[in-house]
Amino acid sequence: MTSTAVCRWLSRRLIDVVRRFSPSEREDWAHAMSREVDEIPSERDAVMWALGCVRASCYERFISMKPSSWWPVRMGMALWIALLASEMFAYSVITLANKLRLFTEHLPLLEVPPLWESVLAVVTAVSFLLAIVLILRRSRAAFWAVVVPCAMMLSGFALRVSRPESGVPQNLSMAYHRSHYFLIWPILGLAMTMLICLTLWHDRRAPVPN
Amino acid sequence: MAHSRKCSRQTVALLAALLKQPRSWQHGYVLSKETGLKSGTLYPILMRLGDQGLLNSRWKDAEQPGRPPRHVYRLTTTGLAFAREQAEVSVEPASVFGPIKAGAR
Repeated sequence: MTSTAVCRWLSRRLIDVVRRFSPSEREDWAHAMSREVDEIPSERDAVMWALGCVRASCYERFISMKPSSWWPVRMGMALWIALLASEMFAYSVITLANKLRLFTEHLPLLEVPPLWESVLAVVTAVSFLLAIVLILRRSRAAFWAVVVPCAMMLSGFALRVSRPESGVPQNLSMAYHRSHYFLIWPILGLAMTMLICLTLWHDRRAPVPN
Repeated sequence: MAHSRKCSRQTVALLAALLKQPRSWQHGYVLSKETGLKSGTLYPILMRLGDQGLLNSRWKDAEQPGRPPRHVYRLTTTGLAFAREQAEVSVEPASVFGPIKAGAR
């Protein structure tokens, strides 16, 4: 087999990949790319052209992908948001119960957050529940339904960190922990939430197939 | 696309190449040679321009008999206006009409 024949064979195989990888709405373009390869006089250039076409088709496939259309991804995102919602509910219930003297034992640390912060936590939790419904229904509004309560949750946390009497800054300090590794969990949690936001943002931008 | 937004250097180069012969239909390979853009960069840009209604594309029969048709491209009226606008706002006029040497594949 000569090098010319090898190059021609390789460019043909690469074009097959292009046709397979291209999303259905770009079928015509995949055909256009493959036709152009036949018109390139140099075999080496044809291989390089076909390689570029593979890159273009992979790119088009990636941007047309909607990860949330796959139900396990959707369920996973909903479960994570449910976890955040339950955390916010728990926080608001505990602080409100303490303020209303429903606990037999009074916890002074829980007196620190003002009432409006507990109310904000309830609103955040309810917004997260709404986000779960929107994620499961594959709505484009799910992105904002996750981002807005996340921003509320983070601002509430920042507020608690800014107040030493809340006990949060001490809890985050190394004096209370044996190693720095305790930070892995909040960082992983934040990364997971950001990944969900990115996925929903990507899905929001994905073009509707023709 | 917001038409007032400044495009990437590659898009500007492609628009400039299409603007040189606004009435004639051009092949992808010819555009690639003219702009220095590799196919991996050229086609996504052509697709985006097509999606935005700035580019017309069609299948044209080959000049040689027995050969299959090829895809050809031409700017639409809106695309022509946009290309002229981009050529004007480009900060590096020399690079707009010259081929891109370091284009990605």
